[in-house]
Amino acid sequence: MKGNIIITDKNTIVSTMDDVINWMRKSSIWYLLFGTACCAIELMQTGGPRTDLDRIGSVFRSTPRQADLMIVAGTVTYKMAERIVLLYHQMADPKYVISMGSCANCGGLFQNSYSVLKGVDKIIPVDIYVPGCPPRPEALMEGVLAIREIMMKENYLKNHGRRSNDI
Amino acid sequence: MLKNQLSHLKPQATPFMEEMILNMGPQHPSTHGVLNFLIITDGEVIHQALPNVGYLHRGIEKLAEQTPYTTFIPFTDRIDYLSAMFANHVYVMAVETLANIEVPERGEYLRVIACELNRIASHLISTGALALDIGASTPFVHWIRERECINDIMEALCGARLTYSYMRVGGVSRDISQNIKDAVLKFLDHFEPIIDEYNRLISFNGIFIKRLANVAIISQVDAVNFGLVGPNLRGSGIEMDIRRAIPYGVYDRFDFKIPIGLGFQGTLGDSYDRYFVRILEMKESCSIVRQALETLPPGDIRTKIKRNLKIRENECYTCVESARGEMGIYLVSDGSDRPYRLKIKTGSFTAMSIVEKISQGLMVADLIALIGSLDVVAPEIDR
Amino acid sequence: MTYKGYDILALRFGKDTIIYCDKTLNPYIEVSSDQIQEVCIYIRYHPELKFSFFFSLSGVDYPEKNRITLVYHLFSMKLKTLCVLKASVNRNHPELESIESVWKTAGWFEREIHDLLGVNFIRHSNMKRLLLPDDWVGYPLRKDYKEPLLYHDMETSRDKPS
Repeated sequence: MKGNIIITDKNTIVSTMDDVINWMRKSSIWYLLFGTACCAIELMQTGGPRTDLDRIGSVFRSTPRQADLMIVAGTVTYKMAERIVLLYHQMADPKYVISMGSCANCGGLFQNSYSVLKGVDKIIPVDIYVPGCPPRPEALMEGVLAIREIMMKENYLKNHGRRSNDI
Repeated sequence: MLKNQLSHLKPQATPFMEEMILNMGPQHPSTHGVLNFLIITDGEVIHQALPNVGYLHRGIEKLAEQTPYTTFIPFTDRIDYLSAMFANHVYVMAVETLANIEVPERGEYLRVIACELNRIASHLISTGALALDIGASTPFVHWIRERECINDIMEALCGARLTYSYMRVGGVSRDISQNIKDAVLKFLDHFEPIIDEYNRLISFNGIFIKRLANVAIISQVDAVNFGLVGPNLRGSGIEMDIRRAIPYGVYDRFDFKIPIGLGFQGTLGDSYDRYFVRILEMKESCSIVRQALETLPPGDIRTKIKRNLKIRENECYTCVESARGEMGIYLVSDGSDRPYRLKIKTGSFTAMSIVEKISQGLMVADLIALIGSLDVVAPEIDR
Repeated sequence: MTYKGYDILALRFGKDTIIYCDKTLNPYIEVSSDQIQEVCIYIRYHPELKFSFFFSLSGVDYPEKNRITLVYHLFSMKLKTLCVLKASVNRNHPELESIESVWKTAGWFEREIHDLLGVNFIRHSNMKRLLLPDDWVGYPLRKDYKEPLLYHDMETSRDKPS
């Protein structure tokens, strides 16, 4: 946190409300367990030992109502796309979306397919794109860290979590 | 007294028969990938569970018709991402059979090594995820740790952690170095005792056995009738393995057992049998990898083929024993450089069709055990 | 399938209705589309054949012949061999007897082919689309399938990055 005043001999930190709230938010990003294809396995490995998303306070939630972050991991078909929009609207504000892997970014390998949606950003707003097919766990970790940076820049008290790019 | 009053108030009410329709999935942690079940239940008892698949239908068969033979290999990785090597293998085998290409012996041995390592990696996820599904999260983390070791070996061997594209038409892409050989042997030495440790941790755990034994029994007749393949079929006690029945590659040179279900903790063909067959298969795979490494012949790893491969009008069906059972490809060529029709037959597809029959009368929680023990993977069903 | 197996079949059905062809790598037997169910029952339960494993069912579209060919792959543990049956139907009115009653698993394969190629299977218990959404238009695996520009207000193409 920038601009903090630390009074060492009194064990006190003076900071803004925004900074404190954002610091708390970024330290417990709960992500929606939403694997659709191959990337889901790398998402699992990211949650497992070695990379361990848990150490930055990220744990998976099975229900969208408890999640702050949706990681769209894998190919999105038209049949699935309608469900994704539904799940996205069930998440409480403020919400963030990581598009993981080439398929979710732009259709990737399946761009010529008749049943694949060419990029999840056609239906929901995406904050971070993680490239790769599938991305390594380290790359996904980098994506979650980028979400933390976005969170820190936000003016939470003024907007109450609403974001301008929301549909 | 109270009962009489109630019956007077609601003469038609049947308090113990109340059907409810539940929608399970497609976003659900316990179903493997994106699957959707429409469950008609009466309390906890399922009357019918109707699987609704296709949430990951990516049209790979249509894409094959637009892609030249040699460049289709990366697509086959995505058919079954847990055991991509087998899809690679069956596809290149189909093309080699049609184009009449010989594979050098060393190439075949490397294929066996890669495939069997991949079988272990796939069974790790399937057995671990089964434990996770029914509520034990520790074993899954243990298995993920072991899987990371295999991923490291695979990365050194093929250059990718998950989607290998290791096989080429006519051989494999890279040779195995002494370092990787040592790493594989080191891993096997480390892994084989771990299986026993894992058995102590979960396989012989009383609660785990109670959740799986005598649950969702698939009889031999049903297993054949519904076209189950691989560990699911062997779990019902039928000794059918493509590696033995239709030998391919160099599998006839290795000495391995085919584990079948024996009703280890309950009835023959229950969920526990299907689970335990996989554990036993991992041991067999370890032994095959050891044998292949010992007898690895020197020589080329790949036959040179023409860059623009064209195959005259013909057709063939090839199949391999993948981690989820028989995986087959029916390939029709028409003289051009791309397939006329490519049909992929997978194990999960048939495994999914049996759910509707077996789920009748199960508890909702047992449905999870059934799906977990069948080890279905969504992209394999939908392709 | 070996020629010997074919002999057993030919004795029952006659050599002019089922034709043996070994030009391809896996020799196949051509069966007329209205006889497919009988042949399947016979080949499954005959004590010397016992083709009890149903491997796959695929459909191939031939627009220039105006036919859709259905290819059945069966396997016998007794003979350790593969049997390929072929039946072809008219492309404009593709209709065929369902073999769901012989192998239960064929039901899903038939639904998939109905979904992707538009073949109707008579006396099938649940002839609905399997993989694609129910309101999908057209049959994608046919050679003349064209992708629509929109599906439920979602664009079906993406611009190449400039």
